[in-house]
Amino acid sequence: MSQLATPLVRNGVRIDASFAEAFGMRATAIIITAPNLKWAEQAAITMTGFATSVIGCGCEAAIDARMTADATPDGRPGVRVLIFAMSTDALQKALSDRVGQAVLTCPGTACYSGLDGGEGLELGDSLRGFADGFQISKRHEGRHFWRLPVMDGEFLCEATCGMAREAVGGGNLLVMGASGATTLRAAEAGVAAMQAVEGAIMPFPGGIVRSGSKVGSKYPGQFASTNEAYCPSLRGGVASALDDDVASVLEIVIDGLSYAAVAQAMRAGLKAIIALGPERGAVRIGAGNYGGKLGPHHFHLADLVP
Amino acid sequence: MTLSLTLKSRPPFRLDMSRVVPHLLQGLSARALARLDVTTIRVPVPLGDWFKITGTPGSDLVICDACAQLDQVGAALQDGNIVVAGDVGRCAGAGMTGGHITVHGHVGSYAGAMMRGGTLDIMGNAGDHLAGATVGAVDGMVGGALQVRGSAGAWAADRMRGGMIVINGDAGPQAGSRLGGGTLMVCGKAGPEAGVMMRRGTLYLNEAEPLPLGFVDCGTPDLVFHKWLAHQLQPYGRSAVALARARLRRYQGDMADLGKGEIFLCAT
Repeated sequence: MSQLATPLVRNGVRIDASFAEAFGMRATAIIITAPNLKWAEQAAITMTGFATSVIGCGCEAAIDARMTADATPDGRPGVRVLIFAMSTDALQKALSDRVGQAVLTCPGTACYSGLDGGEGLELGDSLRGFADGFQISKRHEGRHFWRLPVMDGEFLCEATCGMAREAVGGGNLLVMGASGATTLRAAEAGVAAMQAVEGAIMPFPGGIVRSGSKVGSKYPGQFASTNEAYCPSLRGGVASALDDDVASVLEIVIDGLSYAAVAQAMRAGLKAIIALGPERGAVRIGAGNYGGKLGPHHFHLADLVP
Repeated sequence: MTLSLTLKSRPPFRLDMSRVVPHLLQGLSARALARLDVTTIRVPVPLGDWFKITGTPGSDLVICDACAQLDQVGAALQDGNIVVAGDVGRCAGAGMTGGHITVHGHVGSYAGAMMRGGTLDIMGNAGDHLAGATVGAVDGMVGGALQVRGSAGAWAADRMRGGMIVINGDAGPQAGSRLGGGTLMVCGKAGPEAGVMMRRGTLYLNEAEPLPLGFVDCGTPDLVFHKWLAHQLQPYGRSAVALARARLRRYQGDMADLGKGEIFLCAT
């Protein structure tokens, strides 16, 4: 996976002549509100826990945006959560399981569709049975809601939510630095800039992956394994993709409701990482791909750098 | 394009305005408009005999100097806008499925009866059976939104099954009787027997005569639904928002029927 012939250089940071290879996914968005932002975030964090990769978690999910009280359907603070999966069925299962176990259970929360249009997914419709016949249906201006009696009052939940069929998962940046500290600083700056982009999430812990993987393994049943070409400690013993001045690599993975959202997030991340410069941040930025043969969406870094 | 109808004088008999809705007027010539039959008596009564007609038929219809002799104004409206200056008679907006009707005056009985969609905004008072079911109909209003800025008569929302009604003033006896769904809000005082024989649905009452005996007290739970509703009710005025935000006591009933309805009454 040779990345460069004559790399672009911006602010002293080398940019690989490479591209991120991404895949089509199904996605939805929900809005979780609560009496205050603390509890809305608590529900969202619980719901999006263990949702870093479809490989092992069944879905990828994270908080997309914090919402002020005047922007939510019930006038309370809230958060918008995006959930991605490889199929409609997988997305439906992840949505029902996670809202049922993490939002329904969280004090004071209510849950609404955060995405209009498209093919509908069951939200409250899949949870109403919990009310055991005491659920109350409410329709208003074309929207349908369920009120489920619970011990602190009611769980108000919209019956369905929309689904994006053109979602994109797997946009990425490989942030390479001269030390662990500078690499982490650069990746953090990139994630912070990307989080401001609406419709895109970084589902890994804090938005950052330290265990970038390749497909397959020498062991049977292991679907993904460490990407040795980017492991600094193996540089001398494998076909490494790393330069001598790279001591640490972190990856930022981006899922978006559209191609444009992923591209915008990658553009924002590149700009923020480049602005740090090689001494304080990354010396080089790359992107992961599979040779362009697996994923239909290619995000060329040369097209995205500022 | 707007068509304007101005009533020349108060007719001695009632006029059936059910054919005078934008989707039925599209493409009609001035002559055809003038000959449109609005009779309710044995002899034909052309529209042009009683109205001065100006403008071109389109999505908007304005009726000026209206009076309570005009029945079924906006009945079965599908889309477009109707604005009425003055009072109207029975069945205003009855069976409408879309569009917007604004009446700058009072309306007679059965306004919004069997409504399925759209919005009906009544600036004055409404007669009996607001959003109810006319003779032979199974359900009253099943969808859409209806607001009465003044007060409503008896049997408001009788047999209603869906949609939203806000009465900013008072309601007469038996408001929400036989309710099967939807939400009725009375920002003033509701008369006796509110919610009698209610099966499902929701009543919000600021003040009420004693409720029917088939309702049981459920206390004053803190429900997110009130907050959501208050947020949705911003266009319906401060009294509606204030009622949704008030401390409300929940009553479930009518236990003499299915008993899955609820009345939220301002807690004193």
